[in-house]
Amino acid sequence: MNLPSIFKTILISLICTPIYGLEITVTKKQATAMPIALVTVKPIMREIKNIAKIIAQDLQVNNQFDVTTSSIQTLKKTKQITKFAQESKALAIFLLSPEADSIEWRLYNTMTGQMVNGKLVKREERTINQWAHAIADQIWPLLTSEQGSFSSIIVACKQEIHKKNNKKFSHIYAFEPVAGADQTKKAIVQGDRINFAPRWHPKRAQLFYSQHCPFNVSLVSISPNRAPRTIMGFDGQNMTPAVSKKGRVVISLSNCADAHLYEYQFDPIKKVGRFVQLTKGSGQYISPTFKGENEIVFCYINQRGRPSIGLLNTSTRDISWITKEHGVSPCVSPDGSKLAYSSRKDNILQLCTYDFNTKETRQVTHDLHGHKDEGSWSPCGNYLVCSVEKGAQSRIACFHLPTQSCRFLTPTDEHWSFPVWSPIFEGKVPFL
Amino acid sequence: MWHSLPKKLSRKTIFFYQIFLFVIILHALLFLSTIIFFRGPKTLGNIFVHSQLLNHKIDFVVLPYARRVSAQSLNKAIQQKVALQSKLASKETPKPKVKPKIVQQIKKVEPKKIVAQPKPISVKSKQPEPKPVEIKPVQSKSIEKVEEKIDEPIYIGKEDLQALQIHDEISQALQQHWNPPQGIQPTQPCKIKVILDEAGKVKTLNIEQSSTILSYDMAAQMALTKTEFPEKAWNNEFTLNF
Repeated sequence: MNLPSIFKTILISLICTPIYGLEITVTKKQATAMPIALVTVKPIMREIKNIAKIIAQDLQVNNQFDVTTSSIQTLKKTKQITKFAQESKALAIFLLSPEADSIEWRLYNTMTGQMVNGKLVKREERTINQWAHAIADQIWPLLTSEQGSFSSIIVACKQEIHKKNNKKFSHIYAFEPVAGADQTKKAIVQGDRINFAPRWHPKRAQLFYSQHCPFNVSLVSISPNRAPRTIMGFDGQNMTPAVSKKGRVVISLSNCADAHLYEYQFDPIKKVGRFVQLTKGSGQYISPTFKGENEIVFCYINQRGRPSIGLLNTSTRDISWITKEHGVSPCVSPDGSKLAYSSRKDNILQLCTYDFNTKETRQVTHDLHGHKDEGSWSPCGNYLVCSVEKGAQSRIACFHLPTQSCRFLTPTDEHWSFPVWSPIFEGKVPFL
Repeated sequence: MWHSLPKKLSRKTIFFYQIFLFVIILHALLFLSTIIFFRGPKTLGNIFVHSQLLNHKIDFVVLPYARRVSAQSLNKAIQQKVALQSKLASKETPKPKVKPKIVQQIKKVEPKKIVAQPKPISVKSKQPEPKPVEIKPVQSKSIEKVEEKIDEPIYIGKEDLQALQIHDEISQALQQHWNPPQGIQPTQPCKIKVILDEAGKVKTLNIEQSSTILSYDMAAQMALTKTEFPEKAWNNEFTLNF
């Protein structure tokens, strides 16, 4: 130790002053599923057991919670709640059915026996599954401080081949995001034609999709309990409409070699609608998706066939490029902060995300088990659903970003593509 | 006082006595002041130890003269170090974490030597010889500065060191029962103030700052109730950051 450092040491030791309480930070050793008790209270109506089962399935879908179901006669004493603390269950959910068409849920802190929150949920023409999902959507934000996506649905296209003439056709199905691959899917668009690239309206239960017709690819719309109707039938391809929250509509229209983005504008005086071209030049501008109201993220394929992702300002018509590397199938998250897209890494399409605030890119998937394409965000922004294509087979997979876990929603021996996650609509879940 | 001394004493002896008396009074004052300032042995509850110390490779210098070092300077130094280390760690390849070493001396790390310039190879040919490209040494000022800052040790007192060791024991005991739910990353830590009784059991438990995620807070509380704290922490009060 040299002379100045000795002086420094002595000086610090002389200056030292009394200090405050011991503070310790505990670092995570391992994250596991947190045990939670789900208790049904008698008298139990028929459905409540099924509802408890579905709620438990919802809460432990990503192994974040480990739900144990049980039932008791009555809920009168605090001891009935605090006994769960001895079983390492810090939280307990009680389900009561005061009336036939209503369920009351209560969330308790088992260490103190105090109720954290509770609510009475009426059935309101919902199915048992939807009723349970609605309850799970109310409990989930209390547990995790994040929005739930249990009351939403996913639609995707299933491609099949006619046995008689070996012609391909594609139907659109709706299914729940939580249930497994063996769940029954409800067909919402059928027929002999190829239906593909569905898109949701952000505000109402309306689905747009493209359909292969004899002379063009037309845009069709479908609403619950209504027949499909063709809304655009220009020459060429009418594909992938994007609707903003305020109702602005942008679509990719193509004729011959090029495809461009057009905005639909309606003149209320003349009562005439027209399409205004937003992009210029050669190449294909496809898959538009709104970021806010004035910006559109799109995929541009140049004349050499190389795709990249750009951002178009609708007021100035300026284009900035988000990815210089290979990028397809852009999808902006519901809060507009992130972008999901597929990018080729080592000759395999992998899911990537781009943060608009930090401008950082993150690769979500790394495995080499197939091309991940057509990513779509869940309403909560924690999941990405996409198709995983390997050879002739294609499955729908759901990635949970915080836990980096993956679940398959369709079986192995089928060909599924174009999954799109719906927003959460008020009231009944559409198409199911 | 010196007026009462015998007058026969020489001036030299009187001066010696005066000096002697002055030194005794000075010592007495110093002794009293130390008693007033430190008030005997301190409990664990009066010591502050920054939490992130043990998770980083930080050198400490124990000051033999000090019991504790100023909280502000300690915190500042740790925060700067943690920030710098995390910056460098993100640039470098990940390395396995090493427990902090407590050193007694300040080490000076010399800046990395610059690789020697490669000599231009001379090839005889008819064509005009291309001028050898001069490779200028990279300015390593910024790197040197960062290294200097990181390698500067943190000064701690004897009680700080003791508290660090207790901190390590408590965090190890807690980690056995601390299993937060997967995929939940709170933006702010859950701060819980704990008072242990004489038997080492949790007497009172107060959430000072919630992580705003109920399941995370509850998992932390559950871990606290299950943990068997080390004896050194019994009958004490401390704050835990989960």
